Amino acid sequence: MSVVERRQSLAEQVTLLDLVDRVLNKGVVVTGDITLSVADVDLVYVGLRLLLASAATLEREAAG
Amino acid sequence: MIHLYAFVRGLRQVEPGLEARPLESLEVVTGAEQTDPLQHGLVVERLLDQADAVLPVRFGERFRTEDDLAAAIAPRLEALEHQLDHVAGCVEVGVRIVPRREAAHADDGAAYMRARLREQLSTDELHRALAAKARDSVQTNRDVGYLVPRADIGAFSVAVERLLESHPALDVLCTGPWAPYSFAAAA
Repeated sequence: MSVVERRQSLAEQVTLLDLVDRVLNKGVVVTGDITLSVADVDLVYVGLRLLLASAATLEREAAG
Repeated sequence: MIHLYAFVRGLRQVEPGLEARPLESLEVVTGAEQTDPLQHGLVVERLLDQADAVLPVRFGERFRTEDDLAAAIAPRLEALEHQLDHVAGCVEVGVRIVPRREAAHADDGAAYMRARLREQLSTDELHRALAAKARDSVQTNRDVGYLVPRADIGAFSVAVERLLESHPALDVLCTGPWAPYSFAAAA
């Protein structure tokens, strides 16, 4: 397998965690409180929206 | 509610909907209530092009009033300033090294352990080589975040490419450049 092919197969392994890890698990914490719900929307649901958005973004990038 | 995005230095422009307020030697970037983590992430990534130093804040930090915000930041100001100094001019490049599971095909336990050891050694060697080209690095499981000065991104990419070619038994996933989330610790 060429380097390019290896890279492409790996790009598919970029998961929700890659994105969520940064925004939800990393970064400066000021209050120390974890916001379990945002605007009365459960964070699990917010995460699902993130998954859909990021999958679409990845597809778009793969196509472009 | 005031939503906190990041601490920055040398902010050149403030996009509509955001506010930047100076606090000692840094600036605090805030906006109206934000419920979408993806939008939070995108705002922070854009700041990377608009400021000299960006310290991302984890999604979900929100404050009722400006006084609450100022009071929460005050005791952490010194630590935040140190962290901003550290990441100034840098971006984060994520590198995940995945062995090609040679170990999975081992005939017996000893062969399995030897294969795992070989995988670990070449992974360590690779990360050491990359760490030498970065200002700092932080490991989380298989992922290592490298803090790379903007000017060195080209050289860093070339280094990743070379290592990929010289280690055919390893898959290397490189992501970024990101805002330096892994170097923005809890203050």
